[in-house]
Amino acid sequence: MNTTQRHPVITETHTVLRTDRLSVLYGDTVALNECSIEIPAQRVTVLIGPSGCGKSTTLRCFNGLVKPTSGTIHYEDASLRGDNETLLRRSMGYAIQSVGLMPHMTVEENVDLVPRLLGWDSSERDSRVTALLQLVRLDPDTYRKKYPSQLSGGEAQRVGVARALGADPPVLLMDEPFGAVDPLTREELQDEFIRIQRRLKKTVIFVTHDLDEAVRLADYLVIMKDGEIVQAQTPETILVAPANEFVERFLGPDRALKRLTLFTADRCMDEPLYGDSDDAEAQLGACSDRCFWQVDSNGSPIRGFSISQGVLIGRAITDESHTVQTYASVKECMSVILNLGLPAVAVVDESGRLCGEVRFETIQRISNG
Amino acid sequence: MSVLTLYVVSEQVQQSVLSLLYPSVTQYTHSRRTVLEMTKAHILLTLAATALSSVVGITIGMLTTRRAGSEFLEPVLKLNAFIQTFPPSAVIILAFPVLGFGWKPALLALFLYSLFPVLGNTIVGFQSVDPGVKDAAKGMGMTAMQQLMIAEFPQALPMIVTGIRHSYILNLGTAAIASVIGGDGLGTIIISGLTLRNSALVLSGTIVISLLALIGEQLTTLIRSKR
Repeated sequence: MNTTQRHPVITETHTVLRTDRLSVLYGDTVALNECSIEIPAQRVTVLIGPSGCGKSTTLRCFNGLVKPTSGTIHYEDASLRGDNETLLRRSMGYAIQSVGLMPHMTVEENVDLVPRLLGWDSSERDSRVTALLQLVRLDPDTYRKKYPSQLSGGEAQRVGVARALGADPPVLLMDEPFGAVDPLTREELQDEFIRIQRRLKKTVIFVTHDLDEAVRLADYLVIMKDGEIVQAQTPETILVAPANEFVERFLGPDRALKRLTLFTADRCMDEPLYGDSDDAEAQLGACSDRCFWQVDSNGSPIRGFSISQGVLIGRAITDESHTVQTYASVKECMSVILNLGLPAVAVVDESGRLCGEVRFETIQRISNG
Repeated sequence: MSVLTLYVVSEQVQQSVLSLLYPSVTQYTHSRRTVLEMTKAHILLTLAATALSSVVGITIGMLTTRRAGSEFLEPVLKLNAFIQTFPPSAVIILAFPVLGFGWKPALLALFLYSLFPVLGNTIVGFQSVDPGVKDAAKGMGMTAMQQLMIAEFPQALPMIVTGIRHSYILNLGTAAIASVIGGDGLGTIIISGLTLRNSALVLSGTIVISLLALIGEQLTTLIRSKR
């Protein structure tokens, strides 16, 4: 099993957006100083940096909410109309921290705002809303007619994402979209984002100040400071080779641990041993580095066995926190391994069926580089 | 509503109600105009002034809260605060030497005076729209008009309706004073009563005005609960 994570390299794909020496000045304050950046197609580009570094300003230049003082933006993709501001915005999904749902409209009416602006007919819009709500995992029948005031923070953010995806735009602009929720919900939303992005493969430009989030979500990481780009590379490259002292300090002392969030379970899992509980001892033999999983009729693991110091031990799998999804980070896998006390963690697919296991020794091998 | 209609239409009812409260008075109705006629004129004046001030107030309110009109915002707000300090009677009295006698100057005075509650409330309504909503509306590709009508106006509406309600109540009361400068309305019977020292006449007019005010309140509550 190949455990070396390979990130999609930027040069594999074409450029969707490009800025050329973009500057934004507010009076004497320099918000952006001659930034030149290329946004790769169908990748998640994350802009990160300390407060006031110009990341939000850059994002808002892309859809014309901020007018640059000098420099140009080139819209290389044919579907982006750089000449007409309103049409440009309708071709770019926009999701913000405060979500900004229209409080006097239902979830349904909010989600189909951009399709309505574009003149889609009502039956098209109807099926689109259903599909989008299903995509963000909000049951359409329950949530369609709800008002934003009736939604929790996490639910509102999901509706915000659904709305940004409304007219199936080629580019998504997201400005700290998960910033206003609690850490647990935030992680859930990040999982959802990864899952959705794998399916839709949009070009995403994502602004955040949370490094863990950036490392987890980015295909291309752009670190900014004081209106300038300090380093722009794949997260893996930056973590291993920070460009200067600022980046090193910004990444923090636990760089090695952060690298673990770069890897997802499905890229380093092994084939699992599974079956009836009676076969456990026989199948495991003397191996203490793997597990044997007892599965139910659905194929979902309900108990994990392993050999520890010559003795067979078993742990019950009672809820979701005892297994990981395919797109979960290796850091999460580590967490479950430590919690359950088994040498590996069961990886399940979206329907809960066992599809692999991530072993502790694999994680050790990865983190040693 | 039915109580009002009954009172206004029938002189008998007026007489019986008033005689209960003021048994010693000789005259219960105005010698030259019926309460019905006066009420009609009064309502007409009130509604016309309210409608005018609403339309103009909302329009100016919308315009001054746009980026293009923002330089007018401060002077408008200052003017608003200033005019609101005037008592209604002063407005009417001031109107007379400038505009003369009759219902037209009365309407103008009422309109100008009741403009400001609507205007002030419209401005506050628009200013209190969640900035996140405005940003999202702009960022998703709404034109300026769409942002105004789809995102902002529904949010500002409760405040605007409150402003219109204030305007209506204001006009209802001020219209009574309009009789001083020749405008027809319930002011005629009230002022008559004051001049003749006949409390029954005064009360007669006041009852109708109060009932009209109550109806206005009920209607507003009805509108608010429907949304």
